[in-house]
Amino acid sequence: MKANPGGSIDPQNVVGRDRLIEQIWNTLEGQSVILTAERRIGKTSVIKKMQAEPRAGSHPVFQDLESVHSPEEFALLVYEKVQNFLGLWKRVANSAQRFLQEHRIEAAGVALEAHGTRHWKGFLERSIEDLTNARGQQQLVFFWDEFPYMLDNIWQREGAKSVGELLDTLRALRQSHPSFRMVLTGSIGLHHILARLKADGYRNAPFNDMLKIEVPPLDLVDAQQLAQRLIEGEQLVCPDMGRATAAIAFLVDGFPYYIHHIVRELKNRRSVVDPDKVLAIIEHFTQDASDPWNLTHYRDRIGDYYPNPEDATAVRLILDTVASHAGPLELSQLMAELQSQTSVLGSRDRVLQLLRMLELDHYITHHGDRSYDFRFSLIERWWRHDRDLSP
Amino acid sequence: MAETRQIWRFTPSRTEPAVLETIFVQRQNLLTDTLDQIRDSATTGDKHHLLFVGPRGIGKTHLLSLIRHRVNADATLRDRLRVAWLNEDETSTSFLELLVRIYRALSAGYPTQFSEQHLQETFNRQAADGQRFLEQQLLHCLGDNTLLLLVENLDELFKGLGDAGQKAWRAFLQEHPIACQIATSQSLFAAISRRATPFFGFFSVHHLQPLTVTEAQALLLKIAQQAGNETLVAYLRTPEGRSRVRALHHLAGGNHRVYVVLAEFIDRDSLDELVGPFEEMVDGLTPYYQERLRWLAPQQRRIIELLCTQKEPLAVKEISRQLFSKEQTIASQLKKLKQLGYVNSSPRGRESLYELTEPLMRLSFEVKENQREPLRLIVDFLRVWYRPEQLQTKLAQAITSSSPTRPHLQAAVSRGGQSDLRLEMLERDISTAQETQSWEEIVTAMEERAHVRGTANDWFELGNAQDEILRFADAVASYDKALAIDSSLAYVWNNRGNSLADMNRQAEALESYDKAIAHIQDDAFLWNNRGNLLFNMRRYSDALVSCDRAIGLDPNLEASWNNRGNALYQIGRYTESLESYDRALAITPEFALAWNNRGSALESLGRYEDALESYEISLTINPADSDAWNNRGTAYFKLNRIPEALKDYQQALEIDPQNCGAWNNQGDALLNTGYFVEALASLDRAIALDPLGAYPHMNRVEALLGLRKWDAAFSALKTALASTWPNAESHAGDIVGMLKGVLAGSEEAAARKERVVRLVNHYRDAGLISYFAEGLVRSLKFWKSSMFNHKVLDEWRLLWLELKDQYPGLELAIRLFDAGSRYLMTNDERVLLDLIATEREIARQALGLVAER
Repeated sequence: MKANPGGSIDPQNVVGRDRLIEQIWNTLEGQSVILTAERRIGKTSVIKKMQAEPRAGSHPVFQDLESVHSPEEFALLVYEKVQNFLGLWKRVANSAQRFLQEHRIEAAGVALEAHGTRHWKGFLERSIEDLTNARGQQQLVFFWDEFPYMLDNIWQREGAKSVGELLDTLRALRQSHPSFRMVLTGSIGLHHILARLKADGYRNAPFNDMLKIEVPPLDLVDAQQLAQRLIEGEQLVCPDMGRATAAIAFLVDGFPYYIHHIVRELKNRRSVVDPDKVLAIIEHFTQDASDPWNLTHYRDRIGDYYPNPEDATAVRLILDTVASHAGPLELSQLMAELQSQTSVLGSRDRVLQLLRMLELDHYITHHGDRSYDFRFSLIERWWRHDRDLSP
Repeated sequence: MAETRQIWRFTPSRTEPAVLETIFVQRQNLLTDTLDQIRDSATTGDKHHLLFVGPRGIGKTHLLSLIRHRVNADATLRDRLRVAWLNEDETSTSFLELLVRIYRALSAGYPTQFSEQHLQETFNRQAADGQRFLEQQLLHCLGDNTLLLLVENLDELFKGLGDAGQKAWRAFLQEHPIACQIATSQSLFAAISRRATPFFGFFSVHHLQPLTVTEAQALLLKIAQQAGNETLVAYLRTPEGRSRVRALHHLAGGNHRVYVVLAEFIDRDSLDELVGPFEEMVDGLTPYYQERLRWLAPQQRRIIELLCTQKEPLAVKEISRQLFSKEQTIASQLKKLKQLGYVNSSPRGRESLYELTEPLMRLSFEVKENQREPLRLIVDFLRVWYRPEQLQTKLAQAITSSSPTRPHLQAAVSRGGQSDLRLEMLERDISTAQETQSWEEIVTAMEERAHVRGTANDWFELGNAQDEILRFADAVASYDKALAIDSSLAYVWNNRGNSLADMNRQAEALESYDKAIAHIQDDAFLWNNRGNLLFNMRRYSDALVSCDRAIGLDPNLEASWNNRGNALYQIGRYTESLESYDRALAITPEFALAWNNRGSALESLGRYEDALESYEISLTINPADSDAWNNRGTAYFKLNRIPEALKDYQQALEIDPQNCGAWNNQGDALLNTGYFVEALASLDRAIALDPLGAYPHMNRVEALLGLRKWDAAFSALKTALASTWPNAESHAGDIVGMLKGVLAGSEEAAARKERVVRLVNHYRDAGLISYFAEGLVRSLKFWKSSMFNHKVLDEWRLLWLELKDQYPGLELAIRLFDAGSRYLMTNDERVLLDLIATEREIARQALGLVAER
């Protein structure tokens, strides 16, 4: 197996995701799923593996929605998949087709709009109806990747109202068709879209019937296994495999993407694999001025995620304070240090609220004893470098 | 020269693949890895996406062309892949247009598999429908094949596609992992390097590095070889040729295309031939650099313009001072410029110094600045091409002619004065290489400097650098050049002596040291070196004299005290040698080697426990000294603490697996514990490292005897006896060991006798019967503590008496052995009275009845 940072991974080569996949399939027996993850953590590999090796009775369909800009396009994509599926099972029930004929709308490629009326909602409902009516042999499961991107695209083009409507429609369809299953994934957090919708007056809870599952980085053992397979695949010299793979796994928090990167770089350098070389490569990637892993994103996106400038300042201060400590930081100590530095932060509740947001955005993690730490040591390492902090 | 034209300078894709292969340098590993990844994409479900980033002329198209060529030449890849190379000048403003381009490229390459008809059908549909249709056709026609997409200027493609097009393309690739993309771009761009963009992290990015001086020279050599230009090949291998390449590198950077263009006239000396093509090249490149400058934001442009005027790299502080801007602003702009590939930075202390990535960038600025003046680049080019005096001569000649190059020459002379730009560049490279201890690079640059300037000191420093990388013969030649300029340089004679000694040319080395001393008599170091050499020549008494001279001149020279100790040790004056080591250690208590040597002296005085202590200190100071571990092992061995000895030998071998002595000693220790097979393995390692070493060979005989492999043992003995033996004494222990082996392994009397005879015959044939005699006498000591009973001893004694007449050289030894063994059986010293007084004394010593000398 070759190091392949960023490329498509053969489902057979996806390492260490069996338990997670099992959990997702189990959940899908009863409800739909929101799969959350940091970018490049390998969620697409997880869903591609689910698609390639489906559980008996399930028929997964993968759709990347990042290029979808309207509810009509979305409805059409769903329609096409349903049609393919029905064709597959030779069940031409097809109320959706009749719907098109009744409203004299052409299907492929044409916006579902006739005589000034938008018909995507009805059309989508009919497609799902067809799907659930055809149930019996296999269950179609939609894997909608980059779902938040689509919402954002629609927002840009049509505004918040259409986004809210689409989310409500999907929720209503899940309610009225209990066998309708979807897995929503995306690299930007749905909670940010929801927060914007709420700020715009939206009052519903469109995902409260779905289970949120986070794609974690690989366990250290699995990460080591991945590193070992890559080192062997690239035929690198590694005098002490155990120590070297432990170093790789540990220093990048089990992110498969970075593991691929490190092994690729070791190969590029024709380097013997040992912990020192691994550390040198990580320092190169985290400290090089050209920022090859674009870690500055973790700084720059704060402004987008926390549009209120006071919030953004407070978030940076919280992260600086946590990064300045070698281990987890207890809330009381964190509060004390923050208050000694600024008066902006205000109440304890406010800090807790920001900490919760930072957890959702994968910056911070909290331990049972109410102490806080960076979620990923790699990001902490970079943050310290970027902000010139030392623990 | 006709074939050279086959290298297309600006469109490498038109050059014959075979030619591209021939002139390919620097990136062999990258090409191999890329093909591995393409193979992986073609034969598994993994799909790789690679992006090569580098400025124009860095060799991107060359690399892509070779990739395509290698793919076509490989039957598996040819079968599995469908290659589409997108025309770099065509744009796509939507995903559909991109699909059309890909499909069209496939249709051109594989017309039966990708029917042109599908394209026509696509054009007959509306855009969205057409896109769906073509997606399906592409997937359908591709079947099980993998699409290998070669894309030049990916940044331009992405710009054209826009956010919507990129998202559609990525969504397609995510849903259908059918493609392996190999792309190029001139710099990193936001659409792949920002997390918020669809293609973030999608490509594995490789920054193509400019050529180093060595690589540039390799490229030029290959071009010359390809063109069959033997004169140029020979010229490029001279220091003069190399220094011109280095000079060009300073002026033009490591851009591949520049060298391809300049390859033709690098060996020209005629000014007109030189300046003409150079101007042509400048003319061709200027618009490109001007355009690159135009792309920049005004503040970034100001920074680049400032750097264009500089000879040296600048710090942020200086740039901000000259541009009246805040340091923070300049730093952030520099960071962007670095990302865009315009500037490089190198650290100096806590700050970073910035310079242009492509020195030719200053063309864009200069052409505009000096409308009528000769370009500085060309002027500097002349200054590195010719020495200052050559420039003067050429200018004088040009005054009488109406040469168009006169203004350039005039400028070169007036700008340079007497300063030699080529030398300045060389000095800069030498000090950079010295900072990073890059010795090969230091030697190369110093060779050029010695050639260009050639002072005695230039040659001397070159010799020192060559010696450092073990090129001793070259070093001696360089010292000779220095001495030809000034033969009175004692330090050159001295270093010459060192290099000669390193080559084992000891007599010449001694002569060289003597020459050094003839010029400076009172330098302790010179005497010390001479002493060292004499020691290595085994002229221990002479070495002692030299060491005494050195100590007389400088009593605090601990190295000389140590060397003196070594010389005394070798001539058996152990007590005095111990005193010398103590003097060395009084001056420098941390002198690990002296502690080690002191241990050896104590060991020779039989003070094994004290020796252990001395080795201990040596190892505390320097635990990485393999020899010290080996020596301590030997001390343990002598104290019969075999497990500790074996542990030390193992430690010695872990540090230095080439430590022949430790392998031998380990074998010896194993022999003594009866582990003959293991001993043999260890001794074989020792012999492999030193095939002529006498001790491992001899120990090997003992091991084979222990294993009762008689024929092999006697054949090994023949080899062992052919080695050089210092004296009979050092050999005696082995003879005792061999006799033990024969005795223990031969139950039958007849067989025993036959083996003893074979053993003795080997010694007789090798002319070493006297050694054997000494060994036989010394074996008495072994019988004293042996577990063999008196019956066996008596049989053994009688056996030797039977042989007495057969070997006249052993007559005395057998007589002594006879009397000695009778004493051992009776414990009655009167039996020794059969011997005359002097013989009796020897026997008493052998039996341990008196203390050894």
